[in-house]
Amino acid sequence: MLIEVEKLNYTYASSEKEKVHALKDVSLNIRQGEFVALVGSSGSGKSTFVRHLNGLIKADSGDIRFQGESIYQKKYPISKLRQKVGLVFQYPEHQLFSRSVLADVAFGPRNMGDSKEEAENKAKAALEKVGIGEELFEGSPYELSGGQMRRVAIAGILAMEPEVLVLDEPTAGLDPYVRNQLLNLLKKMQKSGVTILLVSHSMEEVANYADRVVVFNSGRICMDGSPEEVFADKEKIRKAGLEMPQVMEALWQLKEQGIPVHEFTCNEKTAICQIVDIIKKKEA
Amino acid sequence: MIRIADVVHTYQRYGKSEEDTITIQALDHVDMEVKAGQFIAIIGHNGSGKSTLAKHLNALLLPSEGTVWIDDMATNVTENVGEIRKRVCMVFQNPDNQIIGATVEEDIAFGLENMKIPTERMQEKIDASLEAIHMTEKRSANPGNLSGGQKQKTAIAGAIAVEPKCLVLDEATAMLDPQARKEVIEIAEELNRTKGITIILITHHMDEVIHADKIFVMNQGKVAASGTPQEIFLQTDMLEKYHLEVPAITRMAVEMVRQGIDLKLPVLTVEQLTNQICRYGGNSSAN
Repeated sequence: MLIEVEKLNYTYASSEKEKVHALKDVSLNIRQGEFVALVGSSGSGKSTFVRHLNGLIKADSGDIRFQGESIYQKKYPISKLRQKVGLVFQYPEHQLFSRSVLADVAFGPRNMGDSKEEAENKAKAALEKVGIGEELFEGSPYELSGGQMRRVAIAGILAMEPEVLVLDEPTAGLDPYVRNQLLNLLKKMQKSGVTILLVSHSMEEVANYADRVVVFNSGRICMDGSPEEVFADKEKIRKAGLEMPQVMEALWQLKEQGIPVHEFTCNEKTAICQIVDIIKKKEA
Repeated sequence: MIRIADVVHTYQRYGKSEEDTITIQALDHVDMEVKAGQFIAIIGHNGSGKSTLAKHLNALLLPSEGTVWIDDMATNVTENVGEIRKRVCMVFQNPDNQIIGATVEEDIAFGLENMKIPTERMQEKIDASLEAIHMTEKRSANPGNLSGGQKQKTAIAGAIAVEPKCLVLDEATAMLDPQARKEVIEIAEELNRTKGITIILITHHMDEVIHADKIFVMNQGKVAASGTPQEIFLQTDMLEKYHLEVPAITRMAVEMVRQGIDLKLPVLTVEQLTNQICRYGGNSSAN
């Protein structure tokens, strides 16, 4: 098991009087190479949860083991963990700061002790992965378009060659074209062995890209399974304050109206075939 | 209400030397007309010029060529700017960048103070705005403790307190979660319906534009297409060409028609598809 999270609890004070129990006995195991989507309404605890995974926030109780070792044990090399578990925050482009694109992306590996040359090589490889051309390397990151800035910021994490990539709503505010480019990149990285944890508000995105969906509700994990399994429980999804992907919603509504839908799938093509079959059989 | 005539907007991007400096044309001869009381949506990919266009609507930017008229007042006449900004208010993308008051109420009062509204008349206007966004009970809340959606609604309240004729929402829902997005859009639709405020909604989210009176599609600084949602969503190839999202359900319906199923396009909601299929199934079994 790559990451084992056991009974994590985390509380913080929202004001002098009020305390928020943000995570309640959260347990979760992540295998190497998985593409896991973390979903839940605002305030459900998913962003707080992912900040624990590289030791940015320390839990009040519970344990996190990375490759079998507790990250809470004394003398655990937390900076190494942060290289292995790369965390991409919301709006990562707000954290760009260098004079040139290349220097910005090379900052991480430099900070980890790489020579300038090594760091720049890693930066170049990362920029290539996210589709930023050489002609932009020496330019200022602030002169890029929004989508390009986002990709440069993500390259800054990729340059550290993490084994796990955690992204907190990486597609927010991006247009659909850039969004799909980014999601396809994550899928490609998964194929090369990188474990992907994606926090998302888009059920369409989750249905199309993730192998596994973990649903947070009021600080607890309330569902965990394949997109098909999770979206099969319409009532629970609604209770978690979430919507269904449109494909699933359509299949559910058809079933409720007496159309003999038998397979609940998030795959558009499979769903279309099924509906077309049903209609053609009725016609015949 | 709004007339945009042949507007060009150019700006300089400075390079390392003078030769590297290039002129960028963000708006390329845009024509657009918006009638009072309409709900207008402007869609387009990142960098298509839609936000630049929005900033022309209350003279935050001025045209390099052409004219923007707000109720027959040109934005490039300095004396008009004050009045134009009373009539056209904007709400921007980031909820954390546009709230300054220590309480929700104070934040709304800021705009009114700027407009030199006497203190005794302020309270009623604040009350009315709070009611319009359904946040009366949050009047003394610290904006810092509000959710993203509530912050955006506070920003809307601040804008409508000065009783503008037109409200421009410049990707005001982009940073919100689906629930909060819905709330903000519902408020905009309500303001349009009950108070007759003209709404200009700039967004990436197609589910927000399906009830608009008219949609403008921007691409490379030009209006590439315009029409009702029905007309626009019929052109799925055009939307894809301009890097816009076609809702899954709309795409599915198009594919089913290709496979010989008789459906009325465009399909904009899940209900529109399922109702048609049920009727389809029902009719054929009755035959």
